[in-house]
Amino acid sequence: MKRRALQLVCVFIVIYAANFFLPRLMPGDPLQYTSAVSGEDMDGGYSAEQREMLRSYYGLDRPLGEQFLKTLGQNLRGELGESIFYKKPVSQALLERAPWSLWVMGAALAVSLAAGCAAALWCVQKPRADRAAYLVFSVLAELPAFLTGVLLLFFVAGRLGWFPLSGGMTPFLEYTSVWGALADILWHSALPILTLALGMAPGFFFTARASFLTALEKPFLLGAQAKGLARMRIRLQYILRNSLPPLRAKAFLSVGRAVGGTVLVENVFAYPGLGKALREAVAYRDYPMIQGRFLLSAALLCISLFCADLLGAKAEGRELG
Amino acid sequence: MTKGAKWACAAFLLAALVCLGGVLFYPHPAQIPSGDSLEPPSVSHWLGTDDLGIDIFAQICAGFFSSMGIGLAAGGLAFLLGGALGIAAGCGGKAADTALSFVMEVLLTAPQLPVMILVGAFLGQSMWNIVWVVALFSWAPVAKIIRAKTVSLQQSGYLRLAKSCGAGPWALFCSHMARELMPLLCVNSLAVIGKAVLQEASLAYLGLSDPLAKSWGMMIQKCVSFRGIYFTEYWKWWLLPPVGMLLLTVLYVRLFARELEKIWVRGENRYV
Repeated sequence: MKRRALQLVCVFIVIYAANFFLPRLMPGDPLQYTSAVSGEDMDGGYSAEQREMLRSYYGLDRPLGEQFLKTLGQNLRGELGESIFYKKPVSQALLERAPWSLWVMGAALAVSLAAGCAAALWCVQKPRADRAAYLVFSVLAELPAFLTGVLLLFFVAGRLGWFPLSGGMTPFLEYTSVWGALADILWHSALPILTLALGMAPGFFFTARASFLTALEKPFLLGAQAKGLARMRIRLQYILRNSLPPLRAKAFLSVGRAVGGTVLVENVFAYPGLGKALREAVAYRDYPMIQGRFLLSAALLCISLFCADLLGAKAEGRELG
Repeated sequence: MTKGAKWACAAFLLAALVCLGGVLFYPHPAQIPSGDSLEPPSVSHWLGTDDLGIDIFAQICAGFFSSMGIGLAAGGLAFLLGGALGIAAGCGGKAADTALSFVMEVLLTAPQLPVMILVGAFLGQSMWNIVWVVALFSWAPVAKIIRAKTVSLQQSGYLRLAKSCGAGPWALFCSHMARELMPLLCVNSLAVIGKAVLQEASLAYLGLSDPLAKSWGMMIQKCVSFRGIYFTEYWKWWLLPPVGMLLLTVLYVRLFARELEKIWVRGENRYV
């Protein structure tokens, strides 16, 4: 386990270093962009002197190693730099957006876990339903989040008008109570969550199905059936409880898919979360913001992978012991 | 060949033929306006026109070749890199294995879409950037599978026997390992093609693909960002064709990969 943790820390360091060095080693100069609108090569109208001044102001004239150590020190203190577009610290801008994304991601994980497990549990003893569900989930697994999103947007939100088209809450609306506000937020987040959950449910379904099938062969199940226990009780108490560990690990492994999915889904639904922030930062060439956002998702991913391994190791240990 | 594989092949050939015919013989170009804006489908414009008056069917056909080109390039790179590095990690000794496995681990851990966005933003938007970024991430899973298979092959009895008879590494590879590894490699690289097409579409949807090339993702993005598209009829001929083509492409590539797997890699059933 220590070895795995060390490995993940190394991975994170490599990603961190790449995130720092890549933009600096690539051709181009941020000062060229400061006055060019479309990012074409322009001198920005600065004289050589002014450019030198700006370079030393942003610390770009120092050797790369020194810049790296300085940035590292700042990042360790929790400072991710100053966002150029939002004109405030990146960490603050990210924190403002984070709750939206975390809510969508968390809810989508929960919904897809529940839906995948329920479908697998329902199908596991019925070959025909199983075959149909397997086909449906195989197709769903191939669909990228933005396609599902666009289709839902057009048919459920656009044609039927059941859900709002975009945004995190109704603009300019004054809420009379906390519940009204919560309902509005929930209503707006329903489609993004559904889209993301549809993309992740197949993974849970396949994992759940495989571990249910192994649980089915265990002798204790025959015992339970011989006792004449109700079907529901057998499913919940005997099959589901005994296949929880791989599902829990899968939940943490799915965080990676969720991180990529939210970027697309939030842009489809113009949802004010971290994914949209990334897209906007790219559009405005807001480099500190892009890098801060990137580091955040890399850290989230490494932590969740470690949790998945930790849970896996624990489950194995219990089985051995 | 199984029935599914035949269907997948037929679907691919049909799509390729229609699109080739569209590029060669269809009268309207895919780059410049050829009619009024937002014309509904008619005899002259088979699938209507978009907001700039550019023919949709022509764009769909051009998009097929750019999407497939990116998919095939990424699949080919994943085949070469994944195969070579996977085998190198599997039988190249401990140091090579540790180093290559670490690189794979980094690529598998790094958040893919954000990295692609990062590269697209910093390196500029071009087809080649998309190809190599997609390939960069798709060889790692292929290499991981190939490495695992190579390692397990190394321990097999017949390989040790061949080695003790003095067979060189090239002979070992050609006559003993290639037959086991190739099907795995082909099936997994084939799956990369479908994934690459989708990833290009996702990037195009975020506005990070080559702005001059026609691609399905970009058509979807343009349509969705058209003001008031939800309250008009335009989506019927503007949105549905690219979405349908994307779905179809992904499904038949996936179906073909799965059927090939059934045929070639029959022994191990990874999907159950």
